[in-house]
Amino acid sequence: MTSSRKDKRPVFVAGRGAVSGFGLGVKALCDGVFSGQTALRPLTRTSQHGVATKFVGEIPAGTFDQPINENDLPRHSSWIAAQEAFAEAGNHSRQRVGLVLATTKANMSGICGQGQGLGSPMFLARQLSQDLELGLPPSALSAACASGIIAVATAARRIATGECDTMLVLSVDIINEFILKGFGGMGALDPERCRPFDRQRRGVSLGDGAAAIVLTAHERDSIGIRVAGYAGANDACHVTGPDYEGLGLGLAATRAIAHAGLQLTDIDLIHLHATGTQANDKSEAIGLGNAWSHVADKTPPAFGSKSQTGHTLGAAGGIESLLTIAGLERSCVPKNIGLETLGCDKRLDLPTTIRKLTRANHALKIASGFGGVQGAAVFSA
Amino acid sequence: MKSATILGCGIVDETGIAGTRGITANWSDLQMIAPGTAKTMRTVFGKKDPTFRRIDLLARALVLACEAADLENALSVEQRQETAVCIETDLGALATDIDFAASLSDECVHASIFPYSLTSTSLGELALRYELRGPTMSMSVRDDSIGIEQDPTLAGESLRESLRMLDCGDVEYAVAGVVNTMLEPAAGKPAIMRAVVTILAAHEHGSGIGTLEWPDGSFDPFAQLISMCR
Repeated sequence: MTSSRKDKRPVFVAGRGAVSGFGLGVKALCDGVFSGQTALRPLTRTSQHGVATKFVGEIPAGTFDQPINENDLPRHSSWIAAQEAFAEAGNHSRQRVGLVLATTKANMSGICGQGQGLGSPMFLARQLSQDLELGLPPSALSAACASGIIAVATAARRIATGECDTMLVLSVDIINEFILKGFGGMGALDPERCRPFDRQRRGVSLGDGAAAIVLTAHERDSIGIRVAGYAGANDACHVTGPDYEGLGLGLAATRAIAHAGLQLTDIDLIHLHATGTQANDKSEAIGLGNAWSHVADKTPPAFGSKSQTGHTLGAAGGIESLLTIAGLERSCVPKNIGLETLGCDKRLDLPTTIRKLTRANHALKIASGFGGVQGAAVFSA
Repeated sequence: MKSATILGCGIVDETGIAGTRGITANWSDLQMIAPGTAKTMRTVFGKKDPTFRRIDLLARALVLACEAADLENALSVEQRQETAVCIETDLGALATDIDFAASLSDECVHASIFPYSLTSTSLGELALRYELRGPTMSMSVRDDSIGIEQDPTLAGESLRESLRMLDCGDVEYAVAGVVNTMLEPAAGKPAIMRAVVTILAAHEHGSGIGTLEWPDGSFDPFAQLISMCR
């Protein structure tokens, strides 16, 4: 598929923004994750929902100047993240800027209450496009927990084809009763803090997140990072469970690397999906282990961050792209928090202490979601 | 301007099923009221499918539309490894959202339907049945804002995104279209049953039955596809 990619314009990262369990800003997020902290704390805002976990990655109370209602958090946190990203990008005119919004459930206030939101991503996308005074019409997509990374690909494609020069990618999800009880009802929540890839792992921890990434066709506006490649795949195996050979995920990863014009051996670090469920982590390790088995005994050093931010669902691809870029900038892979005894395929190289890289040119970000959806992107320094 | 070769089209709506495969049947012909009923509708296409009733309404409508479009003959198994699924929706999984939300106050929530509150799960059913291993995504084209008219230029998002993917060479084939299903009116929305799909190929990968031009917002992009079905 990707071998026939036509010659298109390069796509650069120009700006970044985030709101997460670590509070405001990309720096707080990246410093928190790379220093080994966790934002998974006892439930406060969501404590009344009575779910079977003690820890979530809520945006801390007091993060914003004034209290924000839970239903308004998707819009407000996205707006804050976008402002940070535009500031880094140089606050150029937004008349020719388009938006791709990624979210799973957006605003559910009209379904779980008397509000206006009926879970439509486009509802939120149009609000944000107006709030941010973006000149081009917005797009909104949902691809479950791979939404964020697929949104990066979708926006990058519009720049690559010359449709526009600048795109804003927003990815957001705020945990609420609907989401917490959904995952809880499926038995997918770890009652404690999640421990991806550990033998004793018992499920996922959830978290709030909003991430903003400004993409541009202009290298002069770049932060020194390029979206070098991207791809998607589907397991076509099961709609909620994984492919135990990790075929779809491996396919997305190898396609994205080929799309970037690179070899597997060019990849210096991987940011994993790493949810902490038995099934996800097992298949992810096998899929990547198989993909790299043709060129190496082990994968490049890899890390997950959901034991620190919580699984931010539709925002995960965005939040974790920021952490992937931070890995390139800092030339290191942070330790995998919660991993004590490896409980998955040993071919996946999972540092348990921070690891300095001798080469940090290309990083792979992968994500998976319900429906067998797989997404991958390669960022290059 | 981006365009692609149309290899097939299918439609499922309140009238019945039709497609470029050559089947045109209304629901009374089929002695059924809608694909939401318990009968195994794929028998219409000469296939026994005991698991069809397991899948949600959204996926059922899409599977039937793909059958009407003759997807399995339009694309070989090898070609389907390279096929994207890009479907747009106004309602998304609203009916499932409402059902699941109604269980939130129960002792046990309706966990088995929770994954179907994501439209990507329904698209995954499609990918699973036809072994479509390209990228999968749903595009949202509904705006719930009270007092704001729906923007007709949004229609065709899935077609535009598919054309972009084909134009870039990111995929060679795509299954694109629209789906909206809700058996009963809810949340101020009327009952609806409609799925339109088209199977697209980059021009260099096939001679088809027509050409899909870039939907620029000045016309209903699905009208051409529907006219090819009936």
